[in-house]
Amino acid sequence: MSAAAAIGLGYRVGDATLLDGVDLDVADGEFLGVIGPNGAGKTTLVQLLSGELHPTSGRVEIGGRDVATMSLSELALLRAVLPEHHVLQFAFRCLDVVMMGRYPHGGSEADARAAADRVMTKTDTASLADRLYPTLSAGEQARVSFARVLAQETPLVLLDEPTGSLDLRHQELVMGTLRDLADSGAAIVAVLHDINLAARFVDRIAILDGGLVRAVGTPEAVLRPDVLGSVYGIDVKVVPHPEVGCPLILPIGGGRVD
Amino acid sequence: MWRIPVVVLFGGLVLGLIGTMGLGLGMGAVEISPAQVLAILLDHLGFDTATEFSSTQDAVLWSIRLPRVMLGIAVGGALGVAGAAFQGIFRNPLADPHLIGISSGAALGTVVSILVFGGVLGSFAGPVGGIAGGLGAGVTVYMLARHEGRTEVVTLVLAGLAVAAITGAGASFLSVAADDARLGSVLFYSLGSLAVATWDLLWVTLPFVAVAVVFLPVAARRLDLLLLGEREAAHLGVDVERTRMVVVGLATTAVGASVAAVGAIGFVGLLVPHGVRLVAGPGHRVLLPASAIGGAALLVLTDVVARTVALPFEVPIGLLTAIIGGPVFLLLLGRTRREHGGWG
Amino acid sequence: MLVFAGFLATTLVASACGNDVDSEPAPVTAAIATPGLPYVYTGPDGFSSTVESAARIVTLSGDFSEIISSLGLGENLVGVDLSSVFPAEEMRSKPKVGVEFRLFAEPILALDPTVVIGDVDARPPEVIEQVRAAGVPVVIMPRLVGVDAPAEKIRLVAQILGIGTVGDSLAASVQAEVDAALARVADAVSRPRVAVVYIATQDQVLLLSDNTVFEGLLAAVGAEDVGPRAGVDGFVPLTAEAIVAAAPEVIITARRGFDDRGGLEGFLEIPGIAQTPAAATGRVLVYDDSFLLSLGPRSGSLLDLIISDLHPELALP
Repeated sequence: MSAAAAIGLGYRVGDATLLDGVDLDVADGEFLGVIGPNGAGKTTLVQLLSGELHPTSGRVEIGGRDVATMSLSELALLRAVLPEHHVLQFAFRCLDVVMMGRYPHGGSEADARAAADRVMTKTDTASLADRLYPTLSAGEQARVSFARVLAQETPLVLLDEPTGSLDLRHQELVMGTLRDLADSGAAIVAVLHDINLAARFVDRIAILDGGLVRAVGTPEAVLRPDVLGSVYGIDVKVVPHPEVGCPLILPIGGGRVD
Repeated sequence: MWRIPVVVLFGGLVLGLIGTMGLGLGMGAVEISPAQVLAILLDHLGFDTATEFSSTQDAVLWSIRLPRVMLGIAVGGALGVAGAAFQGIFRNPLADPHLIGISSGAALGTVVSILVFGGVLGSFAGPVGGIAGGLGAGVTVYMLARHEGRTEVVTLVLAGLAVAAITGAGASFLSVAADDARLGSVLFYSLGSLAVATWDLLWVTLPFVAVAVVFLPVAARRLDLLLLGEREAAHLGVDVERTRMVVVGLATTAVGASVAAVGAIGFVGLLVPHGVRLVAGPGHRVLLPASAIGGAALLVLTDVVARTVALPFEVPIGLLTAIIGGPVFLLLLGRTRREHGGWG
Repeated sequence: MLVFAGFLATTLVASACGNDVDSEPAPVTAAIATPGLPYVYTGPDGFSSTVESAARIVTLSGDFSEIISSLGLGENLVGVDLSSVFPAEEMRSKPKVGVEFRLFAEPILALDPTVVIGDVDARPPEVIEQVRAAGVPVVIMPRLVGVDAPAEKIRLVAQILGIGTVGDSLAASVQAEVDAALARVADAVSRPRVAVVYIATQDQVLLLSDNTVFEGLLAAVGAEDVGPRAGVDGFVPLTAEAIVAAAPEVIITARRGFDDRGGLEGFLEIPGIAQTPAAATGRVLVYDDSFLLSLGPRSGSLLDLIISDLHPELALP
């Protein structure tokens, strides 16, 4: 039984079909990366997997159970979601923000604080603990939100562009942390825009295009010039990464409208 | 980041409240010395003292000032906690029951209810109507301001202005046209007054206010999470819709009953939560009760000024809160933006 | 204990800077005995008050202040409302308790009154309740109108204050003056159409007719009230079409609003007024507010004056 699965998943809004017949699954201990062009339906996929949206066809299962049958509080203990944009505008301290991630677990304030401290150390955000969230840079806010999501300590973690505003160092840190989480048994699904970053850390990659799954498999199997070329509409060369060995994608042009 | 210790905050607020209560009972057109104040209170509790007081002083303190101070505490507390709750629910520090049209809606509801149901509901016609009117206005403004899961700042304020204008005008017109002695004057509904405080009015208003003040803090943690964003709160297990309904319902109950009792008094619900946030942060477990106590103290103090500064007249209390509140609000606006990065 | 101490501290401070209305109790002169007291009065609000002393009187309306002064109890007036302006000298020195339609309890109680007298226009009812709860009888009189109203009012006020006999004789003499004035109407030839216009505020210009103090008055002075023709019961905001259609030959108005408008020039600028026959002939009669509007001891003189003004043919050569 997979940690999470999309089975025949489809989502329509009015005349627009955002996702069609998507079958995907992720196992415990697996890190699944989701890539694809803008508008491919990646964010919609995350929203459906999290239970935020209800599919118009098919279903989502977490731990073998249909998400639609579960209550919000049950779900909160099973899956955590890091969205792409963060809206918090009120002057909470970062520590308080991370502690909010502990809400589904209940427990005492001291316990929550201790858990938050641990997570913030692991994510290199401990120095931001007493800073006010709205005063942080976009990258710092993203890292604190990431810490909050980790503090929720769920077997499944869904992330939408977790490395978007981060510098190189923190990209490595976030992806490394996710890798560690997967290695210790969590199931991770992350929408990523940086294909090379994905290739180095994930177990499998799913390529989404126009609401359909174009390919899913290991980076080696999926990241090929023909596939990437047809999905992104540019020419690429794929070489083995000199240090790590996974595929390294090098765009070589194209993409212009003739 | 300096935050005031919670103990100091609540200690200070409670002391402030006791202080304003003392002022409220001691000051007024009829002179009553502090010793006499205590003597009269003790007398009503069954204790005799050596201090003498006239029956007029007794009546003024017990039948006029004491219910008035108690009503001020109830209404001030209601407005403070409701303001904080609305700001949490709308995720916007500009949300004040007055600014978003709920006070005027409550005024209209009160007037209509007294005229139509006054016979059936008696003195409860006022608060019931106030709550109904406040809910109507609140729901209208909320639905207008919601767009794709977010509450738009500009739309919120504009919709609030429009609803406030329409319902306020309606209430004013009816209170004049109906010419019914059970109704307050236009001035009463638009700027408020505690001059009508009697024990009866206090008992009728208190249950509604108490319900809100007691039960709103239960939602404190959920309100914190809602500030993260509705989706994020839902991901953490918060039933957003239900929380919203309960919080708006409770807060409007408090405001509606208050407006029915003493008319619309603005800025208390805006200023007090702001002040608390500035010194103690936005966490609702502190914000809600602190806003209640702070609102109570502020209103009682303002009322003392209102009824002693221009004898034999009383300045409408809403006028004072606006005169003080307006500029302070502008100050807070600038300062908060600089220090805390603003609120978008 | 801490609460108690804090309480004590603040009330100490409070009383130190406490505020009170100027209320040095005036020495009560025993100039007039009040044998009619105690008197139990039941007003139109159904409430019974027992007046036990007329030593310290607070009035909520100028007409009562004037009557009480005429009855000789002027010294006992310890507080009056802002509309009490006659007799001018006397009223100027009296502490003011506000306006009748916007009362507050403590300023009234601070004067330690033994009786408060107002009429049905006194608001808010809660404040009346508060004053009564403090043990002070508040007498709310019904609105009395018509040519017999002045005498009736005087009689009633006197009775409430325990000087019924004095009141009866004053009332009788006032009634005599009124009757004498009205008797002159029999010789009047003209029966002009009259409109009573009252300027309340900048934007509130009212046309008064029946159901106000003027009920029946205009008929009694030999005039035709255009109010009913304009469909007015009580008072309504003046509309240009209404006043033009009513076509009054004479307009009666009160001085304060008239002056505030800028005298005759300003008055004629009120929409519709300038197109009336009254405006064309300049027959706009202006009288002092308290003189015109409060039916009291001076009513005889008022009627005399109005009758002379309305019927020039009656003026003594």
